[in-house]
Amino acid sequence: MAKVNVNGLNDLAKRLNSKIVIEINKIFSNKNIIKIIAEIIVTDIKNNYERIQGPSKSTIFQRIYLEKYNNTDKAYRRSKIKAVFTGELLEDLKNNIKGSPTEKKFILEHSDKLHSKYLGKSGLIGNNISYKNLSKILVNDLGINYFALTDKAKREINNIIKNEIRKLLTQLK
Amino acid sequence: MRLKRKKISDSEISQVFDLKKLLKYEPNDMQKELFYNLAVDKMVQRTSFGLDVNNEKFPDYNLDYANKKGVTESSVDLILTGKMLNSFENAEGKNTVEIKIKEDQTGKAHGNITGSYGKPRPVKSKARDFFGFKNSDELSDVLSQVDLLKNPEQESKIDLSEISDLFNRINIGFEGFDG
Repeated sequence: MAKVNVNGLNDLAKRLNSKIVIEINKIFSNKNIIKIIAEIIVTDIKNNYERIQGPSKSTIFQRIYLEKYNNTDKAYRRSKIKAVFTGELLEDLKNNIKGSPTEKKFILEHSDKLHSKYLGKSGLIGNNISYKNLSKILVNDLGINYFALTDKAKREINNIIKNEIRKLLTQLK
Repeated sequence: MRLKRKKISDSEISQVFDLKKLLKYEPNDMQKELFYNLAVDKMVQRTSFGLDVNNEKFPDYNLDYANKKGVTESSVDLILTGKMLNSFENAEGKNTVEIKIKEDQTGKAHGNITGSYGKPRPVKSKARDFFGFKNSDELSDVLSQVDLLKNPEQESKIDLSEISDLFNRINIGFEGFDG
């Protein structure tokens, strides 16, 4: 689990009237806003995350084999360790991001749904594994800690939240 | 503080929260509305993380159901269509908020809470009690938000330059993966 915190919002809320405070809380349960923020986060991870240590020779051979039978994500690069192959794992993250109005946070966590098996020459290969467990293996065992955000993505999220608050604050004038 | 017990039957599922006791003053209407929204949100979030009213993991799904849902057996979040966790309603009293499950979802919710799942007797080992709260400590973050709305007349005292300053200080932080 990782979290995107909106800092300073509680301090602002203390100075506002009750209607606006209630509306500010609704930002964190607004499905459209969560969807937009989830898109920013996942696009940022896809485009910018890369493990410093590249793939081993055996990983490259394995990738060449799997590429023949599976549709790879646009952001996938054979010679780089990114957080995508088919893109299914990050799609799950995108669909599972939640907002917390009490904590003024967005929570990034994978679901327990099962990742599809990859296709091989003679059908499906590998074992069933949930997105959450796959994520733990990637981060904890393989050092692929893709739960990271660039400053650009943070700024974009900041702008979205602030635009929503700005709309509410116009009611004060 | 221990909270008031829930009503759990196949015709009614509800819990009353005495905000006057919890806040130590009489709540206004806005506070009651905010309490309801945040408490329901917290309950739904807890459930979606697979935790029951005691903050313990729900019993696993059986294999057939997990396969049908396309999840692992331990991935229990009580969300299939999403209707049950979207069926809360609010019945406010003078100083209270009553969180209820809407009538058309009461049977399903009762089955989950008691473990009866359509059978006449409850089965404790299969019960997934997602509804309500036991102790006021669990609601401390909700109550601190509700307390912010203590003085609705504050509107007239708003200082726009201070608001502008606080607005400009809002920024995004990131807490990385914690397992």
